[in-house]
Amino acid sequence: MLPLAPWLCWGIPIIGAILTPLLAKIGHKARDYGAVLFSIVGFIFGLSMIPDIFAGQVVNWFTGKVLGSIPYESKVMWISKLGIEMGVLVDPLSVFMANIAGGLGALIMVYALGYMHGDPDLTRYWFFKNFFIGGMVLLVIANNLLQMFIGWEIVGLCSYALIGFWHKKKEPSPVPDYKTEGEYNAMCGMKAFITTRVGDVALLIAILTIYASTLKAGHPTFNFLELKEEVEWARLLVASGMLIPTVILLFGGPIGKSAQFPLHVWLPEAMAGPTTVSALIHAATMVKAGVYLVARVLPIFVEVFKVINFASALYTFSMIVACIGAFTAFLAATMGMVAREVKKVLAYSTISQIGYMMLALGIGGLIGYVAGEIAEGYYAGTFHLMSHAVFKALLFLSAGAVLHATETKDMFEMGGLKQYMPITYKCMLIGALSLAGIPPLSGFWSKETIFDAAWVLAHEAYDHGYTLIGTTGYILLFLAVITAAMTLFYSIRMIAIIFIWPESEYLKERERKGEHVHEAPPVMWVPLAVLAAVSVIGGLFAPAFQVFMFKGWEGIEIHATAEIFIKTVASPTIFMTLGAFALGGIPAYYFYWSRKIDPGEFLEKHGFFKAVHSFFYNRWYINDFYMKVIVGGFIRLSNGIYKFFEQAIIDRFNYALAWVVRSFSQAFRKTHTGDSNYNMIAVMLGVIAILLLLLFG
Amino acid sequence: MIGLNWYLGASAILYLVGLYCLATKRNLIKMIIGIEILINAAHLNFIALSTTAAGLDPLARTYVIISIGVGAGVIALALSLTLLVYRHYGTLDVRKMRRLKW
Amino acid sequence: MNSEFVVEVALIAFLIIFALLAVELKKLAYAVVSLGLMSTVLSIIFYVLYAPYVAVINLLVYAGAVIVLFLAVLSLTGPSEEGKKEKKYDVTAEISGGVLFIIIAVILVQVLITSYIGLQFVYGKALNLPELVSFQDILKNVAQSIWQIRVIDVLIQAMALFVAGLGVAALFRRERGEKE
Repeated sequence: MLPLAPWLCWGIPIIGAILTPLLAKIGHKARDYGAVLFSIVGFIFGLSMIPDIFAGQVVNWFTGKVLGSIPYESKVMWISKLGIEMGVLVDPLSVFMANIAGGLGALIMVYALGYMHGDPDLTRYWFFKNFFIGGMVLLVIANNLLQMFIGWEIVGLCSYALIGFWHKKKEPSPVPDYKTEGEYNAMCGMKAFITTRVGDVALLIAILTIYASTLKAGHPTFNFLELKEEVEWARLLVASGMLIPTVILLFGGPIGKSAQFPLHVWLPEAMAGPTTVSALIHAATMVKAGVYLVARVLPIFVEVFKVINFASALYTFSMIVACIGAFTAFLAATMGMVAREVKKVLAYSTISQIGYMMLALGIGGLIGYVAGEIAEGYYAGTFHLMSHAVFKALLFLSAGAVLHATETKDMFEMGGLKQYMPITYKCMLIGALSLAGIPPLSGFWSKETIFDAAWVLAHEAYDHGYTLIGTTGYILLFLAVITAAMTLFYSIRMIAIIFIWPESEYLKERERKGEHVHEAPPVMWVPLAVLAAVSVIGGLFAPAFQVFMFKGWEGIEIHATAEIFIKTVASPTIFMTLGAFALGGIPAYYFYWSRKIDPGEFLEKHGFFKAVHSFFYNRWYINDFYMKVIVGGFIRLSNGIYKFFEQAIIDRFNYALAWVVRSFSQAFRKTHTGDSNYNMIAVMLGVIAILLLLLFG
Repeated sequence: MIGLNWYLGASAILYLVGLYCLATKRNLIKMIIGIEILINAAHLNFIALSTTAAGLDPLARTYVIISIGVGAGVIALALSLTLLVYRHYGTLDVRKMRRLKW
Repeated sequence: MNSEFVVEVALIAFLIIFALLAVELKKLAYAVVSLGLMSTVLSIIFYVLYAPYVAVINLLVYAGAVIVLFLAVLSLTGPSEEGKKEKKYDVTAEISGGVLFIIIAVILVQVLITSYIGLQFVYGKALNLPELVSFQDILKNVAQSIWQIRVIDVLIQAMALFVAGLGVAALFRRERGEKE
């Protein structure tokens, strides 16, 4: 790797962020190209770490010196007595995530050159974008929990700032609660921040509890590698009964950040930000931070809990992760089927796919509990992470191109764009099919691996005598397959409405006014093409990916190249997949592609489906529940406290204090007569006092 | 040489006379005379206490000399301020210059 | 009762009498002259107390320069109105007179008691000076004290006087185009 690569791959974007206002003073072009350049350079440093993972040891390219073997740590102690340090960890998972964040970040920055061109607030945009990329890479490459949490918070902040980026817009807002669209955007940013905050608090409590336990065990540390080796902290937590609550709270962070149920409500609103922001933050990177955290702590938990003989914590943790993941996937897919805006469809599909990843990791943990080996689920989760990052970014960027060209967010106001934007059409089609898991695109391979893992879980569980887990495995598999069907449904729906349907009235209006729909400029469709290409051939990376991810693990059998593909296709779950395709694809085809049946009429005719549709459209009423009960309740509580406590008691106390002081000075100021003779009388009185003091003191 | 007490007593009485003048009189120049008397009382106190049986204390004498010089400067400034006050107010009555009051 | 005693007590008595006159005389010119006489008597007392330098400087400054200043200001401010009859009752003099009386009574009682009985109290022991110390020694000591040990104080005093002079000049400056 290039020297200091683990430090620079997040340091350079942050430096770029800080330098952006300075570059802005030089000129617009300097600022734009400079910001993009910083992110590209950071990505190059990240790329340089990949060969080292394959080689199994870290080599400095400039000096040729071998620095250490994987996992390789480079750290600087801050307070050694408390175990607080700052460091980076070069390890398959962190390098992989760093490259996804850096690579997609750089690509989307290039795209943003075209998309955000001419926006007056670009300096702020570049600053937060670069800061975000730096923070995300810091998050994944940190070698201890505290630093990871710092990166966690940085990405939360940048996400808030970038969602509410257009807070000055003056058009009327889409919901009646706010006056202008700018206010609505600001509210969306706030909602994202506060909802993820709930998860962050849980995560912080868990981190501090673990740290306190390590402190009590005599070896305070936040470090991942050390936490894995010393198990005393886990013993102490078990002794005080806090282990299971701690790991559950630890999962609270990913629930918030990765938009799982019940904290998933912020992601659809987060689409109020620019599309490049949605692509980077809410498809490719920030929401993956939760998956990263689970993937990071899962091996630690497996090791530690095996040593201290308290594996039920692993069981609880993995069960919760898997169930929440599967349920969220199902939940979000139902909402995605009925959404009207293209970005909302993509948001729901993000929530759903991340549910898949959590499901896979949870299954990995369960398999680890049952059979002692987490490799299957771990690999499935991380592989799906990579392929989802690519095709979701592709989908968002194409949606951005479409939004840019038609200037509307509602899908039903588009239509017939196939002839105007052929390149975007092809790329978005590839992305959607990959999302749905159509072979031979990358999405197929990753989804199949997840189904495989669930199947393996169910069988291993029955083999080892854990019937509850086995049954759960089957249920999870069933949910996953149903969700795959729904995924195909809404993907086809989205593509068809945007590109295949005839032009809408809105577009015809625009044509008449002379604003034609045109293809995206090259700076925008080149990234699309790159991502589409990766999505197509991504499946071929599977063997290399396996070698990559499990470097440094003992006892994993790495499959030879062709064996993986055959193993994936020839498993029993392939039939379930084909069944899901039929279940989802055939209605979608009839409704949307060939338009034999009009969906609107269908809904009117069948009241049951209409009720279901409205239930899904209102987001299962979860959002309304939160707003009314939690937010509303809190506001009422603070109003009550304000009226009865603050106004009655504290304000009255203030007024009383002021009244005392004022009346005292009204009385006392009469002594300032302005006549110096009276002052001298006071001096004489002082002399008497001193004399008396001297005599009798 | 009479006892120290007499001189200290004289100094105290002089001090009180000065205070009385400041507390009672209304004319500004009279008040400056009162300040002068105060200063002189202090000087007498210093010199009286520095004349001891064991010897003379030259340090106290020195301070008195310096203080006489400074006192002269103070009185010069005070008198010039009096002139200006007279020009501004037209009177030297302290009771009529009550701007700094409540 | 030797002659020394009488002389010194008389000096003190004159001191206080002249001070009281300076305070109470209605015509300001007379009050200022009385102040000058008081300063002269004080100089004599200083000389008796074996402080020739102090006596001379006191005489020069207070009985010379300051009196001149006073008389100059008096002439500039015209005839004074100390003699104007007050319409209302002077409360201040009443109060201050009463307070003063209390204080003086207290002190005099203490002084007299001490002189007679010889008790030690806050003012210090009664002392009797020995024979005349040589004047040369006195002069040498005080001179050395001023010019070597405390020379910085002397310099500061000189600066203070200089500043006072500047202040007076500044107070009487004429603004451009504006007459005071």
